[in-house]
Amino acid sequence: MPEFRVTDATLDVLEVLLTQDDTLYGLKIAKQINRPTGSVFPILARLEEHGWVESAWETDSRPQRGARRRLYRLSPDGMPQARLLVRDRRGNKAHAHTGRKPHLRPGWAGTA
Amino acid sequence: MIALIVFSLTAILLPLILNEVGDWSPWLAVRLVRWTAARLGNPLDAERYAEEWEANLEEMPGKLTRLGVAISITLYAPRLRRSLRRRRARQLDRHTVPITPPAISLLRTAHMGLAEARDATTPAGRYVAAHLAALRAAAARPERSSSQPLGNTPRGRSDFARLGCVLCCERP
Repeated sequence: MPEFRVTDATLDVLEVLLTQDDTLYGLKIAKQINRPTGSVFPILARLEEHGWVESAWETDSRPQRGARRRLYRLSPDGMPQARLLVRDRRGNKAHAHTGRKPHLRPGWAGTA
Repeated sequence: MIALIVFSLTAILLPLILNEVGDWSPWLAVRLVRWTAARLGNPLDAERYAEEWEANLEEMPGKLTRLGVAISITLYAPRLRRSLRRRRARQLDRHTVPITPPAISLLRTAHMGLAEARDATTPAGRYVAAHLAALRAAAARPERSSSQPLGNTPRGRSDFARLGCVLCCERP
C-alpha cells in the first residue's frame, strides 16, 4: 500500500504515466485526464516525494523557447507499484475515470 | 440615455477592455506563475516550478487561456507547497542522526585521544593513543537513538563521519 493518500486524481495521473509516453509534462497530463492544470502538480510532487515518479528537464534543444519543460515518468520502482495500485483500485475499469473519449471512427463494418 | 450607455458599453468599451486584457494576459500569466513559484518556500523549488510553469504556458495557444492556466496553478499552489514541505521534512529526517549526550562525551574523549596521537613522539605511543581513540569512537556508536537503524546513512556517509562533523563544529 502506498504511504500517501490515493485520490481519484492520483489514479488518473498514474494511468497516464503508465502509458510510458516519454514526453509527459504537467500540462499534457492535465489535458489527458481532463483536470485543472494546477491540480496535477501537487499530485506529481507527492508521487515524486515517495519515489514513484522521477522528473527531468527536457533535453530537446529548442532555441526559440526560453523555458524548458519538465518531463515526468514512473521510476523503475514506481512502475510495478503503480500498475498494481491502478489494477487494485480500478480493476478492468482502467481509463474509465480519465475522461478520455474512446476513439470513434467511421467504418464500413456491417454495411455489406 | 440608458440605451446610449448600454450601447457604448457593449459596442465600444467592452471590446476595448477585452482586447486590452487579451494583450496583457500572457504577460500577466507569466508574472502570476513566477509570483506563485516564489511563494513555494524554497528557492530551488521556486526556480524549478517557475520555469516548468512558464514552459507549460507557452504551450497554450490562446492568450486568455494562459491566464486561466496560471490562475489554476495559483489556486492549487497551497497543496503543492504542503507536498514540497513534507518532502523537505522527510529528507531532513532521513539525513539527520540524533546524537545522545553520552555519545558526544565519548567522542570528545576520542577527539582528544587523536590529538594526543598526533603529538606523540614515538610510533608506539601514537599507535596506542590512536587505537584508544578509535575504541572510544566505536563505543559511542551504540549510544545513538534506538529508533535509528545502525549502518551507513542513506547518503552513504558513515555514522563516524557524521559524528565527527558534530565534533568539528563543537570545541572540546
